[in-house]
Amino acid sequence: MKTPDAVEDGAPPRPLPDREVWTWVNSLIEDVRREEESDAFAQNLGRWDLAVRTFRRAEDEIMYLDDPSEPDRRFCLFLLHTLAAMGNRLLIHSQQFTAQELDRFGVKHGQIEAYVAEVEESLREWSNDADPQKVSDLEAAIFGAKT
Amino acid sequence: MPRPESIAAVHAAKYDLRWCSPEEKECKLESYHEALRVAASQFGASVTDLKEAIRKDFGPWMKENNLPKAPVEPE
Repeated sequence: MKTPDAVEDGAPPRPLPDREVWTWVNSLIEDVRREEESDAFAQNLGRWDLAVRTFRRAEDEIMYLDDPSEPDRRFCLFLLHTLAAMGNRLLIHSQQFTAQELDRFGVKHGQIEAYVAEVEESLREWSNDADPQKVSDLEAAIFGAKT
Repeated sequence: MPRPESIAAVHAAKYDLRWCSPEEKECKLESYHEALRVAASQFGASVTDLKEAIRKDFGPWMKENNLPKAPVEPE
């Protein structure tokens, strides 16, 4: 491969390109790319937040205030698994942005972490595999004959 | 048998956590964990067993408190 300053057919060598200009253009492109990436991240975070809030409404209505069927429980768990996985992906993605970049969207790393932890907390609650006898004894101790 | 205050406190902390704004999540998650620790300690149970034992009581607690309220939409 010939370099730009290689002598070709006896012609005088071409001058090297202005490396500072390349670097400057490249940094401008990088700025645009990062801004696009962070905008896309913020959009996805907003969509995930909406999905979690919508899930909470359904969870209240079906799982807590109604009498959920076994398919309801399975679907609830499936959705929580998905929301937790999406949340963790966003959390990992957020690590590539600085606190200042996240500030543009009014969000902090710790808040995303706590939000994902909350969803994982629900996942653990619904997939609880505690000893039924222990739980039954505890229910009796807490609520007496109520449950 | 009336619901123990520590259990009502867990339900309230859980409700607040579920419906608070993203900015409040860290603080509300901490409050929920603290309420769980207090209640679990009162009944000499693990937090995991306690959560399972009181899960079915969350719906009745919400009804008694006229919840859920209309959620606040994110800005």
